[in-house]
Amino acid sequence: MTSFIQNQKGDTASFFLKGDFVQSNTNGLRQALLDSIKNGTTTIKIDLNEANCIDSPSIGLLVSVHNTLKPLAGELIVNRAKQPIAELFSVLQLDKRFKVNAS
Amino acid sequence: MTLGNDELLKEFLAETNEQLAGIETDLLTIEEGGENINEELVNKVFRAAHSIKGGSSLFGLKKIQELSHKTESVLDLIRSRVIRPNPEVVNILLISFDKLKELLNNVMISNEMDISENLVALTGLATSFLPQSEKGFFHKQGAVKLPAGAAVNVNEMDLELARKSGHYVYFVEYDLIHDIDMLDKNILDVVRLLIAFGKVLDAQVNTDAVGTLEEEPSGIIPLHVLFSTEVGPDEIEMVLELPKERIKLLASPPKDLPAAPPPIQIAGISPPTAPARTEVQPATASDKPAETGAAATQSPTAHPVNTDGEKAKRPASDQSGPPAAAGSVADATLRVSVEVLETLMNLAGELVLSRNQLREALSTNDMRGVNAGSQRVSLVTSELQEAIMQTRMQPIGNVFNKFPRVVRDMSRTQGKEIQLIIEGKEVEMDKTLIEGLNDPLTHMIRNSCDHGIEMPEERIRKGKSPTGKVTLRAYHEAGQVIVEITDDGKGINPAKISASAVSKGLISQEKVLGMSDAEKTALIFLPGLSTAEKVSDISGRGVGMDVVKSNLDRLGGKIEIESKVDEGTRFCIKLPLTLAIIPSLVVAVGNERFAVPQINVLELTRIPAAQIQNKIEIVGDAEVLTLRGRLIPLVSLGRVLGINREVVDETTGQTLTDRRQSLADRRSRRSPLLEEVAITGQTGSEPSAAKREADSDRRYHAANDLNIVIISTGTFQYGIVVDQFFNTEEIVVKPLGRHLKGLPEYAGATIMGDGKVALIIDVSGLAGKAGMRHVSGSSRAAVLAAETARENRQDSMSFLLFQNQPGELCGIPMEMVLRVERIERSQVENSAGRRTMQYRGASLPLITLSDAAEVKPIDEAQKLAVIVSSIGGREVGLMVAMPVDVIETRLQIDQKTHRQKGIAGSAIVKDKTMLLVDLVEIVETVFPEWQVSAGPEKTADKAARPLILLAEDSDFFRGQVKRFIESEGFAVAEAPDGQAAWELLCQLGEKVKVVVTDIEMPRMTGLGLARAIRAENRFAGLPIIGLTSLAGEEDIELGKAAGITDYQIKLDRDRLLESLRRILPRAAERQIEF
Amino acid sequence: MEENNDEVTQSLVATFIVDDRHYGLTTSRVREVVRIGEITPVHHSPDFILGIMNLRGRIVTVVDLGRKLGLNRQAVTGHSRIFIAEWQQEHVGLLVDRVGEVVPFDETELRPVPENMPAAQAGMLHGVFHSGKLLIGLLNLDLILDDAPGKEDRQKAGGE
Repeated sequence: MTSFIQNQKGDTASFFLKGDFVQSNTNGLRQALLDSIKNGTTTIKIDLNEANCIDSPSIGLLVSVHNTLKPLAGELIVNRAKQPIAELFSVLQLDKRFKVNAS
Repeated sequence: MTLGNDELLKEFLAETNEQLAGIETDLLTIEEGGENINEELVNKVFRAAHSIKGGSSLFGLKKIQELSHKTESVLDLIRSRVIRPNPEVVNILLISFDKLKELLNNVMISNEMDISENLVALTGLATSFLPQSEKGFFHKQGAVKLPAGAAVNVNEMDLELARKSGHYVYFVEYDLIHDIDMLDKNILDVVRLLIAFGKVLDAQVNTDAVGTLEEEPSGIIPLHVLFSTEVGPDEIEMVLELPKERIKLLASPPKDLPAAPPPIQIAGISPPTAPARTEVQPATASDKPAETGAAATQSPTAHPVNTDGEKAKRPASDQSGPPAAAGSVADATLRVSVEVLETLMNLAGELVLSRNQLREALSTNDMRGVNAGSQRVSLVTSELQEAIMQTRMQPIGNVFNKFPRVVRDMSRTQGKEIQLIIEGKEVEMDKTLIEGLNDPLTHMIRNSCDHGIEMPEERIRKGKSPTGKVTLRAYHEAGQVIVEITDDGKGINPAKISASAVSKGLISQEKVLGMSDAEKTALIFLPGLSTAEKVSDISGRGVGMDVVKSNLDRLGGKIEIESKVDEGTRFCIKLPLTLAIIPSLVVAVGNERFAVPQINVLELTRIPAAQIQNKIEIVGDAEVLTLRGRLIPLVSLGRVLGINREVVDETTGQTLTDRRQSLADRRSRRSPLLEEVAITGQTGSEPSAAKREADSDRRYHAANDLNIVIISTGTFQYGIVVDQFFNTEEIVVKPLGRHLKGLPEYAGATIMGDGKVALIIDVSGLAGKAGMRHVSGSSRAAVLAAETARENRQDSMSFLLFQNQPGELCGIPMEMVLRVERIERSQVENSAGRRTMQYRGASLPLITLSDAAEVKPIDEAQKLAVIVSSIGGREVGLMVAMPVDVIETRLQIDQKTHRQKGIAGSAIVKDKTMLLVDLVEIVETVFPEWQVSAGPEKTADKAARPLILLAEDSDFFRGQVKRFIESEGFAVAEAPDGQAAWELLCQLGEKVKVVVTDIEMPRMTGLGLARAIRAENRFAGLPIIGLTSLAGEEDIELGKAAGITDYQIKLDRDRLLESLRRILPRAAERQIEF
Repeated sequence: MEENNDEVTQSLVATFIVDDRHYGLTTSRVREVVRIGEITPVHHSPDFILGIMNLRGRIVTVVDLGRKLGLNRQAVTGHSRIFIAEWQQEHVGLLVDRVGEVVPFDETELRPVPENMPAAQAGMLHGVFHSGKLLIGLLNLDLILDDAPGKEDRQKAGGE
């Protein structure tokens, strides 16, 4: 069972998370992201509309994606982050690294 | 300037509004404190500036940001005691906040506005107090010396600020995986924790340490945080739940700083303890979770900790004055307490249920269900209305709060010393009323400061304290809110005002001559009047009290003025409490209906037609009702309003226009509607006066009973006569249009259940219209009572009427009557010249008037009755002829004309002579051996008998009572009124052992006498017995309050004697000796 | 004040008859026209006020327009109506004898009030204009409803 829905449009891959952005819920996400980038994706969009919380490994995951895309001149965009998560990114100044669009 | 998200901006502005609302008061309080810095307050103000700074940066509001930043810095210097908040400093701060408000009100153009003056002032303040070395700080930004590899950046200023506020600054290294995830914690919670305990100056995730996707997921995600908190090094590990090595102390506060201020919170990620407030915005449907302010930014915006968390209600802080011009996002929101919101939701739920009920009942034609359902809907709708009105209620303090500043500024500019006292700022009123009060109150406060309070030198010359006092007071009374503005200044000179009014052609000289001082003072409300020679810029603008009055009129309020030259002035504003729903009594005059607010209604009473004569008096030109011993002035609603009423003439059945001039006319003989009831000698028993009303007799018409609503206006009472009462209903108050608003007798209108309109009566206005002066009800009643008393010295009494011979009317006071029995002649037994009858198992001695008096004995043919009385402890029966009747009346007793043994006197009752029977004398005559009034008086030494002072204005009663008392062996000193009794008492002094007094007396009443006695030490302990025919509870209470020991009904001889005996045991003993 | 007429000279006027004369009100000030329902008298109110009525939950003051204009008011008939007008943020009702048509009106057509019109009435009109064969008196609502004290006396004085 997937906890996310993946969509490809050109070189942009969108990942819609079903549920919280926590490690237990994101089995296979890491691999999917990696595969996608390997296939030529340069823009990754992660939609957090259904996520009410986030855990450290997931933050790590995001940072990894960013780190992977950067040398490729690619871009990570986090979309529809709900308030506590958006603000967390802000406090941790992660929104300086990659784009975070609040919900 | 792009403002991005409009919603967020609105929220931000609403919040800053609220924070700034109390700022002035706080700053003034801080100023007052002087050296004793109120840490909490300073912090509060600091946080406000800080939060504005943060939020404004998010929206790119540069000027606001800059100004708030500089303001914040100065405040910080105050709180770290570098600068003292003297008036000069506070002034600059006040002006800065004023500017901030201005900028925020014109947010769209704020970036173009000029704040250079304020910046200069603030910087000047700040830098002038800083030691040289620190002056550079305001401008420097650099990296602090951090452990190697630390990626955080910090503003030196922030660091200094943190230190100066008593905070420690730590560099904290988290590993998101090990320290958080593996310990089953959540990163969000950790961040919340940090925020709860301090301030995150900077935070950086060391992204380099995290690899790429290809690599294994990093086992470490370093997070570096620069954290400022008041938590000390010895506790920080515990708080952060991190080992010591991860926390590095970078800076400590200076040693001499007192305890640090409470932690600052970051918007958005707020600690769970913050009280819930929900913002209700009319435009949007979205609901945001509690306390989301502007999105968190780099420099976290701060929220003040809500110290009164229990009080869930926080009022909307409307900026005073008209809505801001061009650049503002207007105040269209309201803060509502969660409690009220929940109530609303519950009620909405109930409404849905009721509606469903109704629907169902209707579909099944269940009438009962429909009734029940609609009742429920009614009820819920009422409650809903009330709950919604509650959301609009705000404390009047919202308006009051700006006045300390106004007064302070004015007193400074004018060189006066003025103290402002505010009372009752928690009094709540509808939002629109509060807003509407703003201008009038401001004007009046300014007036007081400007024209009212004098210069200190002048005040001293007048013997007043140099500091003038202005009091602003709000309170509830009788369904209204009263706001008083009082000053102890130079007052208003009625002569000056009237002269000014005349010279301006506003009123004629003749009219003025007839006016009282109070009326002249009230001229101040005339449009066009202003006695100030020049319009001072402070209270000027050329507006006058007339504008104030019209403003208040528009709100449905009234204003009154009281003033005394050199003593001061008081303005009294009365406002309706709510604009919405009030329970009211519905009444009718003719076929017009009116509503009387329940809060003014004391009681309802109906006077049956037959009793009108007794209960209603005409005193002077006023009609007055006697109600339980009190006099209540009456007003006929129909007459005051000029409604032509129709009356059915029951003899002809015709409908006539009621042209009766007065209510008491109902008893006039000219009226076909009520004939007088004469005592006739007809057969059959005459119904007693009390029973008449019950009969549906042709002689009176039930519709001519008087229906009276007893009203209280809050200051006095009166009664409104109407044709009909209906039920009390909850009515919605609707304001009248402009053309009708000014009519004093109406408080508004309402729509009845049948869709028809009814006017709501304003009870004060109606009283004014009816010509009642502003005399308090009780004093008016007292005036009337005094007048009445002067006219009728005799007390009202009840008499039992009977006949001796046909046509020979006799009477006996009701107090002496135990029972009345009808008997047959055959029951009378005759033995040894004495008549008796068997009565209740014993022999009852019988007497008759002719036994003592020179009258003919009772006719054989007449039916007999026996009046049973108790004389000297024994029952005796007075034989009389039927019919027997009872009347209640005031009598003038003639003690001379018919005086003889057995007849105490006579009086005129309804054009007939009534002989007053002296029962005691008859008994004495027939049964001398009973020694009813025999006594030791013949042998005893008069001087040794205890002396009783008897005060009674009626000669008749005085004589009677005197005889009772003397028969017991007491000596009596008599006085015909209270004054004489007092003088006599002072003369006789200690010789008087007991005072027996009537209550209703001229010159000084019994109560007055009692009070005078109680006021004198030498008469302490002197027993006072009050004799009265009025013995309602109220009267007894009044009597006791005045000092009366015991209350007695007049002419209850036995009881009086018993009381005397109890009080004077020694007297009794002495008697026995004889 | 006729707000719209400054910028646009063309507007609409609702006409009606009071005492057999034709008058009109600019439609921008007229909310609606209703039949006469129950009017509750308000004792002690000025005599040009008939009373108050319930208009869907609002209390509306009803003005006897004829009286205000110093005319003979005809008895209330089945044709009588009440114009609900907007004035000073409230709704006021004006009693008329009969409703006329809504006619177009060009500001430039407005003529001063004729000499033979009584001054009291003239004071309440903006002026007159022709609509077809009819001469319509354009009412100045604000002057008619003005409630400032003394105005009535001044108006009356003008009339005599």
